[in-house]
Amino acid sequence: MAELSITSLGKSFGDVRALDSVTIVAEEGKLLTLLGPSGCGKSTTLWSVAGLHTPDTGTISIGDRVVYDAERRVEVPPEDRQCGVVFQSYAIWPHMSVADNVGYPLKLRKVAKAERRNRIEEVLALVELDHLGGRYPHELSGGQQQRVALARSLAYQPRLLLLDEPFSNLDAKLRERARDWLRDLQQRVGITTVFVTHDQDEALSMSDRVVVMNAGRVAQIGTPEEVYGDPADGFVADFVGSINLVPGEIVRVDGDDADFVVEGTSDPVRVRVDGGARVGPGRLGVRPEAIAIVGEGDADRLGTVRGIALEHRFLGDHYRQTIGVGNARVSVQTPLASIPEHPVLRFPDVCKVFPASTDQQPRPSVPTPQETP
Amino acid sequence: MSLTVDAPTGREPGGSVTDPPARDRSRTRRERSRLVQFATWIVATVLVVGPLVPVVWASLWTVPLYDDGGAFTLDNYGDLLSDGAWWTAVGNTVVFAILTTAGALVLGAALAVLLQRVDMPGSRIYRSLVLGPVVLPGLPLMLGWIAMYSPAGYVTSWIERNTPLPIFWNLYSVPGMALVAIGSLTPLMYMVIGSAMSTLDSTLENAARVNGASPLRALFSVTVPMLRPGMLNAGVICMALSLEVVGIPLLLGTSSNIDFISTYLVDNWSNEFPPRQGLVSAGAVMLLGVMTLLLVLRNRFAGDLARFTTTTGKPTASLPITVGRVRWLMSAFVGCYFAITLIIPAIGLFLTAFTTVLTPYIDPWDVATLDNFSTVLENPVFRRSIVNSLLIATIGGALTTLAVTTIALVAHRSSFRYRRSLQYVTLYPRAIPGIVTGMAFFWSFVVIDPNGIVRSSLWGIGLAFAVRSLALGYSAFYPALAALGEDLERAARVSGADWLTAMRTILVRLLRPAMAVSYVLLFVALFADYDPALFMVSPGNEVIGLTMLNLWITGVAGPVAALGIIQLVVTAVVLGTARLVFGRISNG
Repeated sequence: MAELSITSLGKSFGDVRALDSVTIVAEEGKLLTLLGPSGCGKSTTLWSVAGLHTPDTGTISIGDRVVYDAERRVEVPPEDRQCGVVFQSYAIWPHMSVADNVGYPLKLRKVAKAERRNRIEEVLALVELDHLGGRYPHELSGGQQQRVALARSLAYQPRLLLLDEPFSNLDAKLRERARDWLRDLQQRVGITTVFVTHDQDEALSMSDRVVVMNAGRVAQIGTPEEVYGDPADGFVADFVGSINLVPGEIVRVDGDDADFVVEGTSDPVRVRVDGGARVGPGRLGVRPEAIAIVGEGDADRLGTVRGIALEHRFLGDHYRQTIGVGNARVSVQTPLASIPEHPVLRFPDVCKVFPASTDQQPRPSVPTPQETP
Repeated sequence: MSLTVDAPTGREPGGSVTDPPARDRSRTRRERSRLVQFATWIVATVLVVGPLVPVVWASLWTVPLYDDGGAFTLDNYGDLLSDGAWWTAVGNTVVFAILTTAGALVLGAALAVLLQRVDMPGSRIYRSLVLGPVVLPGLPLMLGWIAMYSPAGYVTSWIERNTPLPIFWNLYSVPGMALVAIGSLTPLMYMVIGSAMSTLDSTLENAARVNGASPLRALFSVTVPMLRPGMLNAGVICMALSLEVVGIPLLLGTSSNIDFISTYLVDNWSNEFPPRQGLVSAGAVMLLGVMTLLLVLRNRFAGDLARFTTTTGKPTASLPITVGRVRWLMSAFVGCYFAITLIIPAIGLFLTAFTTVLTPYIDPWDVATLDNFSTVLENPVFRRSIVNSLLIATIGGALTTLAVTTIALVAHRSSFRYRRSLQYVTLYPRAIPGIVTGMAFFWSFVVIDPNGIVRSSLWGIGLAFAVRSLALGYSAFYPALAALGEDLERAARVSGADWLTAMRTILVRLLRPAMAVSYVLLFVALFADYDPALFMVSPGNEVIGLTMLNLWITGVAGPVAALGIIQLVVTAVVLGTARLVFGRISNG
């Protein structure tokens, strides 16, 4: 059963298509993340759900209630959509105490005073701020303000929780803790949640499902594992985690296997592509941690290629080696700084080959209507 | 977990789709917000633009609108354009405006650079002195000018009697009137140019310094050229204000028969018999056209209207320029400026108010008196003027503040269809000369209130003053609104508040300080205003400014000066109190 379903949402600002046939279904009780670079339309989508933005086309329903339908001219105002929203700026009202902030939605719903007080206490306890109800926003830290915003959005039991980059104003350490804490809270409360972020770590670690967006379109929808392990296109592969997109050419396809020649080299590398690959130029997508540096003994095996160690960088828990292979510079993750001068690289068993041109959408794995540009 | 923040299965009251009363309620709430937005738009538009319609109508009609019959005609314009006196008045006004603008711009720019950028002794005191004439009512000081510098004035006579210096000025001439206008408009020019200067990036000047330019060189090769847009904007403002000026030609031009556009219109309205109201309306329409053009021009220069709001004393980040010993000379120059334009006239006003006659031939102590003040308090016209002006300022100021707040919220924080036009409607009164506003409301009341009940009451004048001050209140209020993030009301909306509730419970609460500032400024402006009253005044609804003007012309100097002092003191007390209160708020 779908708690939120967005169908063919479109929005243009002049000639710019901010949203292009965006279709997303968020399952009840799950956390769905909209992930993408700034300007990809993720916040526009979220705000359209909240009723703070009016799209041009499409429909939005929350549960069995249609809140927006361009054709039938249905547009429920934000106050009647029952969405709890946490804003990037938190938007806590500075003239009200923490308890008044949290109690505001209840007051509007004419909840009796005693019940309201109980409810405020309950929600503040939920976000671990039960002792701070009398404080004013300027007396709170950034992390506490964020939790007030969350408490306020949950106070009246909304049908949906919408979070717009809620962690972007927190420092790195706090952000990591807030992430775990929010995920835990969301699962306890069991509220359908849509979360907007440009931070892939956040998206991968918190979500039940991730929607990767690019230039107003949905590029891929899937579990974090799917989006990371099986990116639909070069954009998703590049945006979610880091990946080497090694230019070259497929010279032979044999069922699930293909021979790929890295640009500037002559010997083909045998990789598994799981079908779909065609002979011709392309980019081999491999994640740095999926490439192994093997001993000289394995040099002649299929799926290996020799390179030149160029430089390395220390990244705390690992080293990032840059290795020249033909014309390409390939990043490889290693536990130690020292590697042979001419290391032998072994690509993973299953690789993906993306079309040569950048940022196109070659193999639509998403049920979105594709248009040729 | 047994928390009640469970999965949202149990819908809260009023949330479900199938709950018809809830949907009805939400619909009524939505209607309510729309109704308020629409009403605001209608009322604002009708009050600002509406009154101009009868003026145009009167200018194109053969008989005054209060008479029956009449037909369409262009004769009023023909009469006006073929009247030599009109062209003389236009010529005088244009010469006056050019002289005033040139003088006020040069002095204003010089003051802005000297006070804000140069390390000069006394600049702190000067910076607070220069703001005085901007916020305090201008008329009393102008009377001080006359008392001191007119041909029979104290300073003039003193120089004639005690020194061989020639008297090269004559206040009762067009250049003389320009001198008075320069004195009163320079502080405003200082503010406009100064705020343009403070928005300049000081790193640009520093870049010139790093490349080897001396501080003064950097100032003149980088900062001064970049001020050109600010100067242009200031120039257009000054030009517009000089074209519509009424007080100066009434006070100084009447005796030597120098007519300006404004006095030409007033004369033909009230001193001719029968009054040539059609012709006057035609003149008003033409003046309004020119002023509108200037406003459009200014918007071109200024880009965004909101940028030219009341920026006062914003500290500049750039370091002051050191100029060595010349700074003493500069400080002396600025000191002379303030002595001549501010301190001597203030003394003049003071002495006029506290003596029976002011002349260098008699020691002021011999003629010192408090009679002028008792005259003010005993004379019913004076007393009524004070009470009326106070009523307009306190009540009108409050209502105007409410109006400005509502208009600004609809214009900037609603999804109302015509919200953009509302901003222009609110700022348009800036382009409407005060006398045209007065005439516009006169004709409007003639049309809709033939018995003249409203027109002769204080409400009529108060309304005209309030409409005229909309732009001022709006400019004072808008920056605070713009600084409030829109997420604040969005958060209220998604919490379940309709537009009206979100505005009332969140934005209006947060904007209270801005409303208070707006109220103080409106109080001061309404307390000092008099231009629109020229066409609306009748026994019973006199206001301070107009009473001062009318009685001074008839030769009553002492009590008028006393009234001026009362006006100044009330204004200063209001401003001082506000400063104290707000200062405390912002500190705590």
